[in-house]
Amino acid sequence: MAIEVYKQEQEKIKAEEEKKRRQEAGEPEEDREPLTTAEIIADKEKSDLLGKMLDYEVGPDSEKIMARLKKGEPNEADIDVLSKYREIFDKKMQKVENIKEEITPDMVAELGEHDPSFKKLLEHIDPDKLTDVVQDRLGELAMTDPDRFNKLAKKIEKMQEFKKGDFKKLDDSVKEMCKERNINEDEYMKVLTIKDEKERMKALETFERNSWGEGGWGKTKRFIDSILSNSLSEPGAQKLNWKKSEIDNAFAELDKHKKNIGKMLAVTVKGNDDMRNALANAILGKPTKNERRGFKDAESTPQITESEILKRWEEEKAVGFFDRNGKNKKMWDKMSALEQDKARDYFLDDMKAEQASKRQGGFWDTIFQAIFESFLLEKKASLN
Amino acid sequence: MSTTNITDLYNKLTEIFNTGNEDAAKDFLIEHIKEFPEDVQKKIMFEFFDAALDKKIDSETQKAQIQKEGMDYLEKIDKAEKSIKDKQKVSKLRSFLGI
Repeated sequence: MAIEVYKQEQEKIKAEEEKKRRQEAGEPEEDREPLTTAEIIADKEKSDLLGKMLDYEVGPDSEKIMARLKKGEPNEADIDVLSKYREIFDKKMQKVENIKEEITPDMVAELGEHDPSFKKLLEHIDPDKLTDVVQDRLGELAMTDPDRFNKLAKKIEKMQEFKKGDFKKLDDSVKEMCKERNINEDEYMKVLTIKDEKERMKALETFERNSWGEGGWGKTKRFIDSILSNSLSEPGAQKLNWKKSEIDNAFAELDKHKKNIGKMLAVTVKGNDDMRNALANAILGKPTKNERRGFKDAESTPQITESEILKRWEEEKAVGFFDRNGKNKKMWDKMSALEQDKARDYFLDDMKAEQASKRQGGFWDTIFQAIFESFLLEKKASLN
Repeated sequence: MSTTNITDLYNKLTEIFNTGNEDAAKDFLIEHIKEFPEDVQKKIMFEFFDAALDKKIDSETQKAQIQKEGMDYLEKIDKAEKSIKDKQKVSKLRSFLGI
């Protein structure tokens, strides 16, 4: 009996230690029990997501499968499908839940500090609402666009790294070093807010040149490198031949370098609002590479105008419409109301697919496609 | 300007977009976001969120790169200083020995 109690206590201690270790390492909590089919079906959000995943994986049959599942009347084939996809669904849901925990209103508000457009958006949309929207969309993306979801998951993981991982350690050690060396960081921070690397290095050189006189950054690097490479490569006898004046000069140079180079380490943006704003302004002036690429790509895809759609519709009408199987062709005025309605849907589906195939999936492509699809729906009534 | 339906919004956004002014196109989206259908609103919000995430990651990564560069450089300086100190010791010894 005593042994059993001892074992239980040991297990508890072990579990507590593991939990503490995970928390300290920033690792997610241990996986929960897998969801059962009944649990998925009973939860509207989860069952909708399962439906979307099956639609993506299985195709149009998924609607019937889901209907039978909800009635509690799955057939043998449905059970085969479920046994194949339930586990995948569960794993995706676990990942979604883990990521959702990281997306909080505070995190959303913090992003506004780095992106002026997003900050503007937060003036119109409450961070709580935006958080809910992002969290909801994550589930949908996980089921219907796994590539995009995985990319986003990686970004969120990266954000965690900034807070808890190697980035945080680096940041902490830099702060500590600055403190130890009593470094004044402000002036250098202004240089660091320059986004473009070439421009930043240029500004850095000017800054260093002003601080140290002629030569600047490049000279400093060469100087340090030369000391190191000489000490490693010189033959023993020659190593002894440094004159006292050379040594004194080298020390004096090093002192100057040490004093100024320390400022480079001072990238303590947090807690320094002026510097943070400067960084945000610098970003505003120079959009990121991703953003530029997205805009250019979208620019290269001509947006179909309302008049073009109506023109295309008239052209289709003039030659008649095939049915979905591409067999029977009928002219518009010979079609029943139901057939006409289907013809409109086919036409709009084709327009949607045609435009989607031209897009490459960046910020603007995604937004334009969403608006375009909504716009097409509104146009349906005018296709007569 | 008053927009009442998705066609107006689409036409106006396309018009602004075609001028190549990305900031103006973004401003238009933000100012009119509540006029879009709910599902489109959500997609717009999500894309803005994702873009903001990219910017945050870009700036933090850049910051870390600079810090790393600075740390590496400081290490080099420490090594250089040690190297000079060694030379200084040898020089003093040589002077003491008169060689």
